[in-house]
Amino acid sequence: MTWDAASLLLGLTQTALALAIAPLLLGVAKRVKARLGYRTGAPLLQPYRDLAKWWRKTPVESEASSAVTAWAPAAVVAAIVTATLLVPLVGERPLLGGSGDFLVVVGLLAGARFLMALLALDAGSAFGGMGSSREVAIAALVEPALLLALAVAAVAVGSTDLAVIAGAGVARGLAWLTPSLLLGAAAFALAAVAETGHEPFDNPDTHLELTMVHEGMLLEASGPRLAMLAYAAQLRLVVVASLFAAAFFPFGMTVALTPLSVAVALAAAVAKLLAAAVALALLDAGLAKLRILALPGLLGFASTLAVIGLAARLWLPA
Amino acid sequence: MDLTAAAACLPPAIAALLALALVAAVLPAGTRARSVSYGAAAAASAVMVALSLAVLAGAAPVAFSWGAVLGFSLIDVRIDSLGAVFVLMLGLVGTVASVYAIGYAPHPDASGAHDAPVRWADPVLAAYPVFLGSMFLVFGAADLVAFLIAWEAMAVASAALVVGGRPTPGQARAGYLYLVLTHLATGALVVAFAVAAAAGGTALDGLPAVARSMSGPTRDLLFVLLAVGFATKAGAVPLHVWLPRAHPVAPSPVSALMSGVMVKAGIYGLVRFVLVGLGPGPEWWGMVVLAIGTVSAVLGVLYALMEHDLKRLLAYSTIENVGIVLIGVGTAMLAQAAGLPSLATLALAAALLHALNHAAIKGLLFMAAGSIAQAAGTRDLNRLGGLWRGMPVTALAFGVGAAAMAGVPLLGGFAGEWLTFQALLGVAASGGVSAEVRSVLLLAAGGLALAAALALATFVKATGTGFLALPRSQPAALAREPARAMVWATAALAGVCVAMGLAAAPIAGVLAGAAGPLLGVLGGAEPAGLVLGGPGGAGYGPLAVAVVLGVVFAVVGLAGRRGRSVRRVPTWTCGISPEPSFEYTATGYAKLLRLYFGPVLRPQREVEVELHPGTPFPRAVRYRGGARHLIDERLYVPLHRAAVAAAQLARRIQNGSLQLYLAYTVIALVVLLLVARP
Repeated sequence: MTWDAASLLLGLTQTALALAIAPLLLGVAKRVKARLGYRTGAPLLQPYRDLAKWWRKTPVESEASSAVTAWAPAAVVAAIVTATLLVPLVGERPLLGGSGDFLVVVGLLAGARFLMALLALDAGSAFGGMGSSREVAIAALVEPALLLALAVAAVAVGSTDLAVIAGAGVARGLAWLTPSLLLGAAAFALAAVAETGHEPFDNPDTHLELTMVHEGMLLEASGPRLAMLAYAAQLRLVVVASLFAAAFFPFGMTVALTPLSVAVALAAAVAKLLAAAVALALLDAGLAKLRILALPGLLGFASTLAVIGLAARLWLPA
Repeated sequence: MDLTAAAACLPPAIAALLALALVAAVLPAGTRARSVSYGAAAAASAVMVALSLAVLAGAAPVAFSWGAVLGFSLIDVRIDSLGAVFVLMLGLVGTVASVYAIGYAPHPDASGAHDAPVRWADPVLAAYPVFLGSMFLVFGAADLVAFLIAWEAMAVASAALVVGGRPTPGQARAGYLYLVLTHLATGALVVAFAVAAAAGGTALDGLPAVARSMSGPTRDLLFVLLAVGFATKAGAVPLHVWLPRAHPVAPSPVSALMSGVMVKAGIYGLVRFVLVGLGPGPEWWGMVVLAIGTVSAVLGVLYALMEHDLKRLLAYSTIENVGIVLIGVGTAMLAQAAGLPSLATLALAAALLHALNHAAIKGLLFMAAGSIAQAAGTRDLNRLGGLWRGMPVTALAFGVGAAAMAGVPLLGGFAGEWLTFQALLGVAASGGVSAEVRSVLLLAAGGLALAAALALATFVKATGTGFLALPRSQPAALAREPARAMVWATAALAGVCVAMGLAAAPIAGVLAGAAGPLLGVLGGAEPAGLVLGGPGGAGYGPLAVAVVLGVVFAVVGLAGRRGRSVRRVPTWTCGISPEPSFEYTATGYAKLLRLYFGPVLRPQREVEVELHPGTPFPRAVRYRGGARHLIDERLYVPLHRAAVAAAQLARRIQNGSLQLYLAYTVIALVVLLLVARP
């Protein structure tokens, strides 16, 4: 794959945007939630300050912990940053495009989860085990739903490559949104809420041991390690939202490299990410957490939607 | 000397080294003789690696035959590119497992170990080189009879190794079940081969021509017989019941070979005799294999998740991975039947890649598990924990293997699953197959995704509860690295696993080159580049991803550590001092998924509370729980009952009375005379 200066610059811009905007999305989501709860809420840039604060602190670790506690956070960040480099956002060609499709992206998210789940067990605390065992159990139902939903888009173009999928979506315009693709989009949206840890699957604000999933895994992390894991969670939202946008709603993405189209594409990308953050905040504010034993029903529903989407493509005339 | 001529010298070398291993094993037991035996076995396996690499690098197929009896050769070997792939698995795992076995000798203070290393010293160990040699002959057999002889030798040698010299009741039962099922499988193969031989000779090469001349129903019958025979050896559901019983009780190097290589003999058989031998068949053949693969993948990993015996967990995980390989084989069959040779090649390459990676990874995991069992005296995850302190190298090696089995990218397991997924979607998206087939393919894709996600939970559980946090028992706290040969062998195989994951693209290219000619794709082999390719321009380049990930990891990790001291304090447990009993156990860790998959797993729990007499305060609480194995209960228990009932019926006419038997003879004679009257 060859790069010219313009598309390389676009790739770099897109990566910089994704990496920089991640904490802002959390700030926006928290502000929306606060306003819906009749509170003023923290400043929009608070997540950046939190990260900087944690980064400066001395890490405290458990006497029971191993090298996993020391090194897994950096590996988690690395996995999710790498995933960011594989997903189209502003333009259809991400920096690492060609070296991985959506299976690799989902795989990298799973790899990060593998390390996080181990990290949570490392200190020997019951809370960590609780968060870890819940996380892997829910993920076992989320991942198939995500992959089946993305398979709807893949079967539509005959490729799992995200650039090919997004390019086809942009080229076909609204004709891209066939009924089967919309079913896939619905399935993905449902699974994405679980993947990013929001209501009704998980409450990102709680430290109450009875309800927490993702936060339970972070309890023993501190200092720069906490900063890394918190940033990784913020970036995971960016990856999942751009995955959704690339596969099901690529409109606005630039194909030509004219200044105007790039500007439009940048604006569209930011708008899509902010919309995702606001939507998740609305869910958090409006929904109660579902009983953990009721989650398979909802996630099974997501997988079923994706299967119906696939069946619609296979059995009905296109 | 060119490659082909050099390769031709290798089979005699393998034979000589294995003979040396055999002789050394039957010598009066002494540590020296045993080391020579395993050393020779390791050397023989290393020669197998060289042989397979030579064939894969383009040497002509290597042929070797010896011992002509009644017109058949006892040993009739012809290693072509397909055989070479499997010989490579055997050689790789065999080399490492044999070196490991040098250290895995009797251990004076391991008498309490469940892994029974003491029995490892028995003369039955002569079966070890026989086991290696028979697997080599299975992958190389050029003739149906030679194949059957090698197949049977492999079954008997492995059964001897499972049972050992002085078996415990558990080992004896496992070995018995294994022998019964493996002979059921061999029986099916004997019938199938007899049908094929009656139709036109016993040469393996002639099989496609023979199959083409057969009628449809005969081919269907052959397919069913071959599928039953080979699926049993592969451990595919519902013929898997022997596997989780036999693999864990064998000595760990043998477990590594059985799970890593021997189950692949079933895969080899399916590819060699069905995909290549019978050739394109009706759609339902592929759909059956695909369905068996999907069910094996999901059920295997679910049962693995429920296990807290480390080696049984690994054995169930083998069933899962055999399922994934079968998904690839089934897809290849469907693509071949639909006339899509390049997609068939892709699917077969996916199956071979996953089989190869699984051989290395599962070998690694079984060897690490054996080290743990020897060092800690138990394989029960609920009694382990904190092993990274005493066994850092084994812990790291196990972690690599666990991540690879969990489908973490960059490692081998992911590459095979990636390619299998590509093949599934590729065939499903192509116009060449019916809507029914496409539906089955997509359901298999869903099953594959589910299995991969559950494997992550399984291996986080195994690694986290086995190696991290505080040890849950005294032996676990005292466990140290075992003999050097074991540690080195395990670590070396971990390195090989990492390298194979990063080099997945060129390896897959070579495998596609080996698979293509078998399916009639000539010269269409994928160029062995650095990116794995799927249909529609999809690619996965492990090296590029690894470089980026590595750089980010190094930068972030080092920046986060620079100039900082770390404070180490006890874990906060609400004011009391932390105890291992606060940690999640392996059983507890899997509880949520046990409930989520309740309809399949039928979880049971039994809580027994013993009170202090006269008070409401509990003195002891005992918990028993677990999953029920539906196939065991619904299929094999009724079968067993039916067999016993049938035997009871037969006993009425078979009561041992001589007079009665004489009467039967007379009656039979009279009937015969009446019926056979001219």
